[in-house]
Amino acid sequence: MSFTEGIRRKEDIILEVRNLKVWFPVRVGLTSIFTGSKKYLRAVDGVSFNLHKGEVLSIVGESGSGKTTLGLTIVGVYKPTEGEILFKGVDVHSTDKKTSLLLKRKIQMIFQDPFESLPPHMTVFDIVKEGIDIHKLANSPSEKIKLILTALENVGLTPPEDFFKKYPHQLSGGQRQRVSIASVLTLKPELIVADEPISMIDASLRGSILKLMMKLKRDFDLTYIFILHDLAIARCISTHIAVMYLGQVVEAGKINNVMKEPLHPYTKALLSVAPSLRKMSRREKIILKGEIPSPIDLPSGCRFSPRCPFAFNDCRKNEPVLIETKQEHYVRCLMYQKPNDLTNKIS
Amino acid sequence: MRTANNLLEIEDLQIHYLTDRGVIKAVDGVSLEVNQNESLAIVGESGCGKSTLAHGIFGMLPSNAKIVNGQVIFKGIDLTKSQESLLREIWFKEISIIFQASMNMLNPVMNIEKQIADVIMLHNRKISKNEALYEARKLLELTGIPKSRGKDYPHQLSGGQKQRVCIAMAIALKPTLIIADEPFTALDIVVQNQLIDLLSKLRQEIKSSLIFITHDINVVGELCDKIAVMYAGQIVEYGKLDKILNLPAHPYTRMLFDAVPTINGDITELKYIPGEPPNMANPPPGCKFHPRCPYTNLECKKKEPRLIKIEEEHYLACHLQKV
Repeated sequence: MSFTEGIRRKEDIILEVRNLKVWFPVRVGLTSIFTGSKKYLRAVDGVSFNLHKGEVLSIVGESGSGKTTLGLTIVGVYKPTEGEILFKGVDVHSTDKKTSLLLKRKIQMIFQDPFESLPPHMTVFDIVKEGIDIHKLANSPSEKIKLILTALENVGLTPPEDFFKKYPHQLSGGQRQRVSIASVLTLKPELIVADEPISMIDASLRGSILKLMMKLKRDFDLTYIFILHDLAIARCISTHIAVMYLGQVVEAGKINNVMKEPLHPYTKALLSVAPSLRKMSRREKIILKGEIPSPIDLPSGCRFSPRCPFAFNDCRKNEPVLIETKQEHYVRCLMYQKPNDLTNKIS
Repeated sequence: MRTANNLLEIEDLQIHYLTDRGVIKAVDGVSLEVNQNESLAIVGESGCGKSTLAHGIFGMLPSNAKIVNGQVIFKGIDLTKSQESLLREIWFKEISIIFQASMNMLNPVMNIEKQIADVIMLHNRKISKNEALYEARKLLELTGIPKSRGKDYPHQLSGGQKQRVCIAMAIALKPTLIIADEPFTALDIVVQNQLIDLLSKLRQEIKSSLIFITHDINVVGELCDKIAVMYAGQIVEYGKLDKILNLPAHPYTRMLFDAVPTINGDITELKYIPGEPPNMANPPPGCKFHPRCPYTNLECKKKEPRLIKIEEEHYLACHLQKV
């Protein structure tokens, strides 16, 4: 999949993900040791996309669809089994120490649970300081304090001096998430992967965190990848969206294209259960049966076929490929696939 | 307004926590009614006293919490003054509860069908173990877990499945009231919807009432008939859900609704409620919402508004709108 058509310029590409696979070996019984057969948990299984500077990509899908693994691989936590991730043309998993350290600064991550992601024994000052120390961003102690002050001010923790000596447990959920944003911000990143940054925060305060993140995007020229399961929020903040299911992208494209005219049955189902306050305006709900299958023993054919309300026989036999139905709208479903797409894949 | 229909009546309930930092008025004069076969949503931000209220009704408050005033009348009995032995009779048989993290409260060393059977046997001494296990398996199936999984231990189940087990336990004895305290918060949207459907179906089948506590008002629309909006330990708006959804009267309710982006309609700017809920050890004077309210006037800062009836089945505590 590539979004690079029309207005999107090639030189603006900030992140390129090429046929990324992240498989984890699974321990199985004795027999497999003798027979030598190995099993893998295919968390991410062939994901490709290009992200341009200034874009906001939302990756949505159920728990277990591989969103978080994808995010963690982009920031360099997991090594890809196959494929590569290029940040401005440089391999994220480069073994060169200097490049690796630089990339670790340029690509940052914000985690889901601010109650667990902040070290409980460190003060806000120390938490924000840590990154500055590691990357040697300050020449003098006074410069360091200045950096921390501005970072806290930028995330709306004012007056910042009041927060210096506070420990995470003295802060509310929203404030903690602001601290983690501040600690990321001091490193002057270019790409931020935010893994469900608001799901642990009260519904009434979610908007304030997202608004802050959008403001920082404008101020510091950031590019975002949001990992979400709430499509209503994805719609408000992103320029592009990728819907993931069992390690694969099943639908992707410009946010408006996908939201106005969802093609994949999975996207349709997700949209039908998405938040809508007034029950009268609720459309017919498609409630998917069961839960996402195990990424170890994948269903044959289309991975969504066992839960798909529209599945026909072919779906259980042939695996669909991601095709572009119109500009900046991609779908992986046999219903939209012309017969020759399939032969192309096989040949 | 005592009618024979009322299953649960809470009158001027006040629950305080005694802490090192002083007295925290977690629930500060709440009055509510739940009728037979009715479902009530209690919504509000974290720290507004929703869970304390639920635990207060259920009679399971922590040791430093104290019911200072008021009563909880369930089927004519005041639960706040009842002995624990009586409460034990009522728990699960009459009132059952599904906790926020109840999926983590399953016993890790006991298989799930036995855990459900335990609940059944505890309240029905005559039933044999095999009969209870049979019942348990039937309940599992009812909640969408195949019978064959009954011998599984909690760690073998996903979060959604564990929550299904908790629902099975909660309905095992066909209670007249189910209290659900943020039961679906940790689950993803697809599983959430499956469970909402399941809960509303089962509730109608066994004809029980429901108190549903949440900070996520999205889920309320499909489950509940009535809504009570809580802020800083008090109810600020209360009434029929349809009425309040269509025309929320309290600024807090309105802002709470606006904070939730919806999937249909125009893309609007993200909204939120500025500031944070007050520190309950030292709440602001007057209307407790006034520091965050965009319409505050002098009266709001001085006088505390009372919950008054503004129309049929619609109560409001706000100075700005008077009858």
